[in-house]
Amino acid sequence: MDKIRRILVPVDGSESSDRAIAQAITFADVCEAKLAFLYVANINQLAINACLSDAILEAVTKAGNVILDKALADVPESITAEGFAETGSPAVVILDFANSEGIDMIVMGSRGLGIVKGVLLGSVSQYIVEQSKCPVLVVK
Amino acid sequence: MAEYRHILVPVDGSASSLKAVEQAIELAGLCDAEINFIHVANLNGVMGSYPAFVSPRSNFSGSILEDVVEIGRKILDQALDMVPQSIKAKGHCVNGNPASAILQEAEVLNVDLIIVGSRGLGVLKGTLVGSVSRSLLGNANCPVLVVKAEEQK
Repeated sequence: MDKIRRILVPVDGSESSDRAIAQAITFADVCEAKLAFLYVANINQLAINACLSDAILEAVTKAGNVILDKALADVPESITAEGFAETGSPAVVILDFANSEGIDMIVMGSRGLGIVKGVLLGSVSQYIVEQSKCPVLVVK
Repeated sequence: MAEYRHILVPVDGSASSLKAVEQAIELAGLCDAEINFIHVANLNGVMGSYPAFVSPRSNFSGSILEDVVEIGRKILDQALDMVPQSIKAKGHCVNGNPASAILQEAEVLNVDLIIVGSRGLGVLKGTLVGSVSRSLLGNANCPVLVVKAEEQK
């Protein structure tokens, strides 16, 4: 069994993402792993180039930084953690990040801030569980 | 910081379930947790299309039941044999709908983590995540860790 050294935690400010952060901290503590928090602003790159004003982009970036800072603030000093902000389709960006950054495990909420309230497992989480090469911990 | 004390691992002898066993052993060794393996014999699923067989206890012949229990034992023993002596582990064999039986056992044993293979021995080879794992993800009260077998990657 491969050791878990680097854990990816996609964050979006939702309650289930907050609970994922808490679980990821427990896991990182147990495995002595590093944490990488990733906030993905769901904006299409073409839209950014074509029509989004700097003011809107700045607001989105600021919102992402607030969420990342809050996650980082929860982490005890004994655990190494970093925050990353990206733009794009969340599921795709999260998987790309996991593959390119040598992630050993993904910890995420079962559903985030998506609009369909009835479903038990959100579309992003479902996509990640299906497509991820590494183990995925889903937190309600 | 919370810790993991009781880990539940459903086993069915499939490649991804063995991977889940390995992952559970690794984690239990790190945080001194106890592992509970559960094997669910899905007799109703096997005979579901025959109403006469809906209640296995009254309709299955003794030898079929014995065979199924025997297979379940072997799968549990295979998992238990992988666990080093320093880690506490138990095996549970139950009959019923796999997802409901696993969820019920998770409640009874008050587990704080379920580790499950992404897909078991179900018939739909094309699916990436089996129906049991999917049901656990949607309905479990504790976190669920989904692991994949090598060939799925």
